[in-house]
Amino acid sequence: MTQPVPRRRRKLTLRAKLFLGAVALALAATTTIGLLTEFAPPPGPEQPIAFSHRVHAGVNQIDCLFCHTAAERSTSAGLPSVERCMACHQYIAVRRPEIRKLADFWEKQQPIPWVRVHRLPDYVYFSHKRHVRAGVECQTCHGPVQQMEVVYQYAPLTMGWCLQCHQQPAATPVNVLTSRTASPAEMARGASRAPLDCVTCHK
Amino acid sequence: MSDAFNRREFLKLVTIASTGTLAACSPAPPQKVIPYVIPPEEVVPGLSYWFKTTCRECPAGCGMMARTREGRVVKLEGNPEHPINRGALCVRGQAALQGLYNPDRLAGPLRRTPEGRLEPITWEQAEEALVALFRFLREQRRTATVALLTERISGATEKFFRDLFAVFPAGQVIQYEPFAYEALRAGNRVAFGTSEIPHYDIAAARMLVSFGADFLETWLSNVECARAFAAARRRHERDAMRFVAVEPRLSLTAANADVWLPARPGSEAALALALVHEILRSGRARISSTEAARIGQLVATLDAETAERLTDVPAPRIRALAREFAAADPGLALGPGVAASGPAATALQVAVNLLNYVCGNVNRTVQFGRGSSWDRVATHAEMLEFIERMRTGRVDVLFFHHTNPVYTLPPATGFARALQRVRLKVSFSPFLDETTAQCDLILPDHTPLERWEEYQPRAGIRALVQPAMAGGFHFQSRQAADMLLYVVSRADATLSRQFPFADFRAYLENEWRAVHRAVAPEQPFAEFWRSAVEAGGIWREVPLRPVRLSEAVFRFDFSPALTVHTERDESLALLVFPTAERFDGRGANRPWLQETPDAMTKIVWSAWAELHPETARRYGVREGDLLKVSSPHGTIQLPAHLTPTVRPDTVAIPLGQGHTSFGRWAADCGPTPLALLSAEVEVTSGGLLYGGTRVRIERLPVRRLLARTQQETSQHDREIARVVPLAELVAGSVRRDPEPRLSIYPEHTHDGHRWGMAIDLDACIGCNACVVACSIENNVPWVGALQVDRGRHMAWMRIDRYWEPVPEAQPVGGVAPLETHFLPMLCQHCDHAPCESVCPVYATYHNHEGLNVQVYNRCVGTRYCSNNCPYKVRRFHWFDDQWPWPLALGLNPDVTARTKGVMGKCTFCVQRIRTAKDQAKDENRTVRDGEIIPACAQTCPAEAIVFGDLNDPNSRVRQLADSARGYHVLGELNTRPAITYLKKVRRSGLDRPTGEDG
Repeated sequence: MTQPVPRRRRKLTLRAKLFLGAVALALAATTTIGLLTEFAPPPGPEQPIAFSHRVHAGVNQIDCLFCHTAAERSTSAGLPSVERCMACHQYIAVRRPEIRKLADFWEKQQPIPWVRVHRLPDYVYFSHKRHVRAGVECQTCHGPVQQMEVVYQYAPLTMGWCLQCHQQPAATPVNVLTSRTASPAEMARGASRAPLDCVTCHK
Repeated sequence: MSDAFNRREFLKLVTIASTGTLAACSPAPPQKVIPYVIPPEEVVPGLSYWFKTTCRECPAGCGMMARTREGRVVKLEGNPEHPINRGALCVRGQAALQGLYNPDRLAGPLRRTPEGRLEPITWEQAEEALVALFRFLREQRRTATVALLTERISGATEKFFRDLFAVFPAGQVIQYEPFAYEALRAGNRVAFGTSEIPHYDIAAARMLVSFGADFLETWLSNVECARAFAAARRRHERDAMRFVAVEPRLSLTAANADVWLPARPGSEAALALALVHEILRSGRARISSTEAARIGQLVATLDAETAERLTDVPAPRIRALAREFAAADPGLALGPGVAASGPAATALQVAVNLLNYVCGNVNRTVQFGRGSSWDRVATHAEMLEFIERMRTGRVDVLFFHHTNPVYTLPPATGFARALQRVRLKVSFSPFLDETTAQCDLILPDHTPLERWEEYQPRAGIRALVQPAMAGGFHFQSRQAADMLLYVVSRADATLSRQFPFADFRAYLENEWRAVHRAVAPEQPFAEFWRSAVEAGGIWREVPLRPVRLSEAVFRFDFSPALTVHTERDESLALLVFPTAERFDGRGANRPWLQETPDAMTKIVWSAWAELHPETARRYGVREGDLLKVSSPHGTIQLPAHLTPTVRPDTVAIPLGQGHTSFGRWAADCGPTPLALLSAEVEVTSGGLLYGGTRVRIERLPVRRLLARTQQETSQHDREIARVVPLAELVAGSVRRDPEPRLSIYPEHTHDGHRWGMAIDLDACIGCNACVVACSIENNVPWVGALQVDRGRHMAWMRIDRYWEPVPEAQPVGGVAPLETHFLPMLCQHCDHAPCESVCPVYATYHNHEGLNVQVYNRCVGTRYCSNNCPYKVRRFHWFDDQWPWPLALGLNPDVTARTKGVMGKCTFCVQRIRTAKDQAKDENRTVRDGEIIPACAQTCPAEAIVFGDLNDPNSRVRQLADSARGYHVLGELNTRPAITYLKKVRRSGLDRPTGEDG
């Protein structure tokens, strides 16, 4: 006489079980995918001006620091001002449609709203200066920018990825140049000379 | 599951799993990176630039440095070269940042419509209105009276406004300061024939007696006084400086005294005169016998016994104090501050002058010629005259320039009512304060961090105020002087010839050509001007101008000093006092200042009425009960705070709250005691009577929240703040207290650096400057009164305040003497940190340089660390911090702004350590001692905090840490803190009260 009630309850339990199973499967799948797959660089975003790093840094061999002037002086590398772009493009390729766009920004005295490609979380403090002065090539983190028509994020920029270098033994050239944090004793044990202390980047 | 699967592994997996799910969601919206169109010269993104300027948060005029990043001011610090403050800055000066970025600033000009509403207008419309007004006023030569009511201004700024308002036939510039020191000026005129407020050389004094001068809080120049006081206190010799404070309430200043004499309110003058009497009687005066005889006649009636009757201070103690003061070579007596400005204020200042004179302190510690002139600042009596002119319709146009008299004048003066009779009211205030809310045309000025100005705080100093960042970044403000220059040039051809300047900067530079000719004619002007702007002004040593006793002093009527309310009746004396945080009320709209606990009561976000527990018992009042306080002039209601630090016949109420129109943070913080004051003036000086009012109190059946950050006042014999007697220190018999050295773990090695701190409790004056500096440097949010009451105060640094009864000392005026201890408390960066071992996710750990590090991105918010911290210095972020735009622009870009759910605490300003190491690395060297200065140490006027490398045997911090006075707070817990406290030095007065005569 009370049959319908337990039946309905049983039915519900089954549905819930299926649902929970699906959730668990999805979780496990995303986790496994997240853990197993290599970082695949996403395509670079569309920029307000189709600026080509391949032409500038590759074909024309312009030094990175010519435009990103602050990279060896400051924590941020800095973006070239519109004025700096115009210093050349007053004369060079002035009739190209993309350069016309640039000239347009300059005429209106407006900054170019570039779309950010490399972004670190707010709680991470990365210093371009320290890495450039230690002789780390820009390409180590930014990839073959001189071949990129559209700049994309080459490296995952995750902490684990940072540590791949920072944990390298002291013998590698990069780490000889980077400064100390490890003690002589630690160095003897083959520890990295690049700092590994959390407050190096998190403060 | 393997055996290795432990708690940490589990948490790791859980975290990974949840990130995995999150990763499947859509990515964050793309961000823009915006470059400069034309980069400002020499501005590199990511680097800090410093601009020297002058603090205008009070008339003291401290030198200030503004740190800017990407063109925005992010921190204000004292200018280390400036002669007034030498790098220190008080709470108000630092919080000027929240004036600049205050979301309640006016967005642009406003005009009153015929219906009485305020409507926004464009600056072009505002200009047109002002040009039309100027033309009209120039044509109406005979009738129109035009006045400018401004804060204290000087130098080129003053000349500018004076010349500009002189173009109107009846133009007038009135400088108005709520704290105008009328009694000091009048008292000096009587005694020495000059109204100059001298420079008081506190550092040189061997004995200091303050008669209600709150020189560590608001009096004259509090940072300068605090620096000098700390310098004097550093002399741990046999005749070390002693300090006696005479005032009815234990203010922060009195709390730093060796002896606090709670004399009856208004009786300080009688005490000072009695001291003169006793010194002369005992023949200890350092003046000629003829002069001694003449002065003796003046004070003949005021012997110690008479004074005892008036002041409540026992005659033997008066005599002992007289003896000690006369022996000090030199001593220094200081005259009334705001709280002591009652009917006898001038008499008190004359008495203080006499006291200094008979002891030979004048021209030694009392230095005329080096002080400041306040002659052009209106007295309260002059303000009353002006109000009368307003009331009778004799003021047509009134401009307000950084003054708020509707709020700062007692309502009994009728200013607000009289203001309605003024035909046109124009305000240059950046805020819609009480006065501005009454105005017809509002032209928001820049804050001092965006404008040009010259200011002369005292003789020999010409300080420059320069914009540390461009104005108009968010609020469409314009510098008032620029606006006026533009308007006069348009209004009238003759005027445009008289003021041919594009802006005030050009005017100022032109004015400084004369300074250049006088000071450094051999230098090219451009170079001189540039170096002056870079340095924040020019200054030089000024010769002392000796003064002699004026004849006027012998005709002076001392009777106000003798009319002291001594009857015991139902009324209580009202003591109105200013606080360092809010000054005359101008600090009330800055949340950092509102949340900075009051130095003595530790109350935040509220006004309060201090009652002695005995008085409270008489009226049946408990802590937090709403009181109705009424005087013949008005009534206010505010919560009661019970404290043994005020006389039982007195109720003390702070100034600065009770705003009705000053933005969101000034609202609902209780009333102002100004409503209780009369419109009368102190007869001799024309000063506002902050003191001398009698009030009645009544308990209302309501309780109000009175949020305090520290409830406890006693250490309960735990010896948290320790003391060493001076005699033992001088004799060299002080030994370190034993501490356990046990460990079951291997010790930390600390190769390289080992950061540590030393805090000198004898130097600390409890002024809170470090607390505010820390909050600004480290993006510490505020939470409001309710959350503070729930124990969620966020400050990484606090000043614990304890007071203990002095066993042998006898009570004065029904108040038992107390010894106050201030203990700056922050993360101790323990070697054996109890917090580290309980963190399940390793978010807090001990790094190789001795820092107890907190990693926000690892923290999962268990709060175990906070529970296990014996110092209670960890702060949990219960909420996402509210930084209403544009306040967020003032955040320090070098420090993570924490989000909800993580723990934060003092990092020893690790960002500054990193910056210094970065610099050292660039220069291929190690960090020098003194190169890293945490924000708290940087701003401390007493230089009580020293930071450095404990591994360096020559560092200052190492030497202080090894000092005999050193100890660790709660060291018995074997936490091994990196902070060494140096014990406070108890000078002779407390264990041997200056009681017995002979």
